[in-house]
Amino acid sequence: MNKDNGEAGAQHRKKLMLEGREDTRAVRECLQGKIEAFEFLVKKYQDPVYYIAYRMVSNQEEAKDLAQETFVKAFEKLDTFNMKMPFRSWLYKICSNLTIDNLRGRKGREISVRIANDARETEGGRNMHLAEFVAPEREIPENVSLSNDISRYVQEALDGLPENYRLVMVLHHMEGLNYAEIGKVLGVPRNTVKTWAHRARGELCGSLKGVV
Amino acid sequence: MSGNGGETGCEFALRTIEILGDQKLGPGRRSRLRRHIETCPECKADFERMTAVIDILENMPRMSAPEGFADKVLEVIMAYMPVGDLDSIDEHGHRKVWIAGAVFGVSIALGLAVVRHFIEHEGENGIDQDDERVSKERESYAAATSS
Repeated sequence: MNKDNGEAGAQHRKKLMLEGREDTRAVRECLQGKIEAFEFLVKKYQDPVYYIAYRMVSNQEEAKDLAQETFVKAFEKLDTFNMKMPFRSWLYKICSNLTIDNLRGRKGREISVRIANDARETEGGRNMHLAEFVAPEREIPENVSLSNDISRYVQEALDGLPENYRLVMVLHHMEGLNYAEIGKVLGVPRNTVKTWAHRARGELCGSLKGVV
Repeated sequence: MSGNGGETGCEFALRTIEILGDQKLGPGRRSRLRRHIETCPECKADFERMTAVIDILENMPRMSAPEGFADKVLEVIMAYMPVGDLDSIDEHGHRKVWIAGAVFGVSIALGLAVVRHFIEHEGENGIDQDDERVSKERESYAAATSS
């Protein structure tokens, strides 16, 4: 059993290494002026980048914009890419930063709405329901293998986590990155990622009590 | 936290449950945990909840980028940076700014040299023309006074 796991791990590492070389070659070609090389990278990573963005912001339109922005930014900054770093980690780092900025901006907008709402209430204006403004849009994808209800509950529980915990859950459990690679993406030590993962799973278990 | 495993057993179980999502458990740890949760319903519930949460996270429905996403991205990139600009990047990824700077400098120097030459040449012509005009005027004045 352990031997099987070891072999599977070695095969996975080999696959990642080959993919990494392929990506680095594509980056070099792109830097030499071959736009098709960047097209190859976009096509290879469009689904995971979109998926990470979606799981972070729970909104398809925003996820599409964030994924697009990720690739445009990657293209702009391609000459700063360190060829020794996996392209995947670098790309996910751009995506993570953009999604976190987006979520912080959203919080700022929610606070502004709250302040405006409070002001209206104190002025004796129409008493608007705060939930109309602050409830984030949630969309549940179709054709799901997991029950819609469960995936909705889990997505809501994920949305309740701090952004860094949420990212760790998405990158580790949904994208299959190990803690060391997540550390590179988030710019924190591996052990910090591990601690965040433990706390995140603990909080998810707490939130999903009675559901699972 | 109760059961035959006692406090040490529950502590071990909690620690093990915490790392369930990190790695696959070794056989020794797995069997010790199994023995404990058989006798401790609270740890068993924690274990089952954690495994369910991990299972759900790892099987959340995958989503693909929308149709035509890559084309749209490339369209945006091409709109603000034509392919020609890509040629200004060398094989190490550094833009050939120094080449552009050198070309610009040489162009300015050449331009200045041409302008200077032109001004000087035109100036000399101007002086010659003035001299010619003055001598003609002198001649006509001399002719007029002598007659």
